[in-house]
Amino acid sequence: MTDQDRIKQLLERFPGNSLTAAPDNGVLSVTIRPENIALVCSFLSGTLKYDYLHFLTCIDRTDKLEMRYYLYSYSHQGTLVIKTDIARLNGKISSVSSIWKTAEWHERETSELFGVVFEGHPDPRRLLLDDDMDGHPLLKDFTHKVLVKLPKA
Amino acid sequence: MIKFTVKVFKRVTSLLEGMAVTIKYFFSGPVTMQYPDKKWTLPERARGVVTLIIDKETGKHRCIACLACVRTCPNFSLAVEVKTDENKKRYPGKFTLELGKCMFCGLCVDSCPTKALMMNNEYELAVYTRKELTRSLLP
Amino acid sequence: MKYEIEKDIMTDNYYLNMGPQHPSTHGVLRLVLRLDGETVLDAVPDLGYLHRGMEKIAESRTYSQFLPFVDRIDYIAALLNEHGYCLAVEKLLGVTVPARAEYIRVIVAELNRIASHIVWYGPFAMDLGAITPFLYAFREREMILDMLESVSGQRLTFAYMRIGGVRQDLPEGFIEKARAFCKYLKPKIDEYETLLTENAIFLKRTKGVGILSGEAAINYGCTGPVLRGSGVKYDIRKNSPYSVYPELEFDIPTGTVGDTWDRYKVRLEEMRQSARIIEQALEKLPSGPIMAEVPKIIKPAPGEAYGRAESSRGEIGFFVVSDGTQYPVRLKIRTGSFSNLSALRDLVKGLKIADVVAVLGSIDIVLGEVDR
Repeated sequence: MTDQDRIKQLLERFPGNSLTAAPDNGVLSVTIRPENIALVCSFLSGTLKYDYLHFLTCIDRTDKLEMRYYLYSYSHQGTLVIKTDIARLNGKISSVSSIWKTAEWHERETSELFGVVFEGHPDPRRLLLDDDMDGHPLLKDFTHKVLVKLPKA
Repeated sequence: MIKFTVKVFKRVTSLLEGMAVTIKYFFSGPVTMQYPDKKWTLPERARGVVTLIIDKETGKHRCIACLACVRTCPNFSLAVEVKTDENKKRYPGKFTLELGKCMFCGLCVDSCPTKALMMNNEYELAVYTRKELTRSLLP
Repeated sequence: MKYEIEKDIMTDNYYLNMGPQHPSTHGVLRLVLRLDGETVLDAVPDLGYLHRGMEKIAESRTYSQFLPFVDRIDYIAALLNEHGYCLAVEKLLGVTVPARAEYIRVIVAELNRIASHIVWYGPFAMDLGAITPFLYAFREREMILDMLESVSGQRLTFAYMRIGGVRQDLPEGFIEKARAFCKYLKPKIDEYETLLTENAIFLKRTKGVGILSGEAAINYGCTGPVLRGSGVKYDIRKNSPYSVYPELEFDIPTGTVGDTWDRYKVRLEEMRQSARIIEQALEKLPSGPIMAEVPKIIKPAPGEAYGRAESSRGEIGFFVVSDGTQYPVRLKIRTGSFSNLSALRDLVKGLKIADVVAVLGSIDIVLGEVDR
């Protein structure tokens, strides 16, 4: 099965405009609506056999947050990227940690650094930061009293 | 019973084999160095503290105060005060290095267009106060 | 006198903090152990003691300025990190690195991999009570560090690779030294094996302890020796090759059961394979430039790239997002230890406290890499 077949299967499973799939820079990338994440992920890991999540992360575009899920399959060696946009403040998205356990820690990290709420996460505590820390450091407008202002070079 | 004896024998010999290795090294000389008494000669490329290259004969440096090193430093540990002389030539009035911030990466040395900087072989950098960590590079 | 033994004593589970200042947690990891007597019921890792905000720092540094920071993510295998980072940025820029630079990168990276595995081997044996292997292993590591120092000028945080190549060419006499070292190393690894592999005490401590199945390893996102120890034959150098690895011959060692002993065996074999790679790379080392044409101020076109390399602790990946300026918008660092450590909780359930030390040692974490 090639990437083309996988795109076909995806579009068949998710008809309409809920999903677009196309190769981007040589990597198969799928753009979805955030509410579909759990469905798409379970389809990808089950039927299409993407059994390994490299990482998931978030990008702050100042008007929205972009989520990225990098997947890989040990059985057919294919790579796939899931892209989706969520709201910048308290954006919500379903947790995928029941599908890939590795997502559990990555989601905890993303949650504290960006303020994304992962619904259905089994252990939504902080991972790296102090419990009493305010704010989400990787947002572009983050300010904190301990942050040192960089000198202008 | 025989199985058991073989097992015990194997286990014991496995320990003895390891012992044999250690005993072999027991008779060879030490590989460590008694540090403060003896000192290591650093290789030519060793990256120690950033310094200005001073010409031995003329006592001058090649810095033109272009600020390339200041801009390239990842930790902003270098500071140069630019001054101009009567011919409108730039020269550094002050050139300081904050050693506490320096990562010894050598990016400043690479960035210098006149090759005025180098890293010396100094590696014993402990000082008593924070103030001593700020060094002036100018002679 | 007769004692009556009370059979239904109610015992409470209790909690024990292992770390953050525990010598066998290899850094500042805190494990909250829930115990029943000496049996571990649950082990919850508590991270963040070494969190330096690398990803935030990256957003205020240019692409080449961030390179010295990359060294400090996994400070034991700095060159392997640098390789991953350079791959990611070069992918974003579309730069082809000259062949000589690639070969030099592979040589120094593999030397660093051996050094890194040695830093695992010594303390791992020490965790299990054997002090001698530590001393022997660090003797060999010293030689590697001396060689790398003669190449790059530093012993731990090398800052040797540059985006588009390497900083300096190999120094004179390095090739002979490296060749002699590879020859010297092979019997030394056999010696390491004599000390531990069949040692009765070592076998008791490691065989069948902390078994991780292949499926679980994949599900937890484990990579590197932990994954291979569980029997999955996967190595980024072979399966999605980068640099000049396709031109070099080497095997991927795998375990069968996925226990602590298998992970130990895989790493020792990997050291041999690394020595093999270095020998071949030294043989094939072409002449030519060591830097590609890269603009002085690096401003990649808007886009994103994920570059990954096989570090000694698994996949080290850098996800770089550019918006066309000289600062990255986002730089995500995906490290091997981070995902490998997440599997620990399942691995140690039902074991004794002393086995937690063995299992943790066999996962080989570097806290700088976990917390970033």
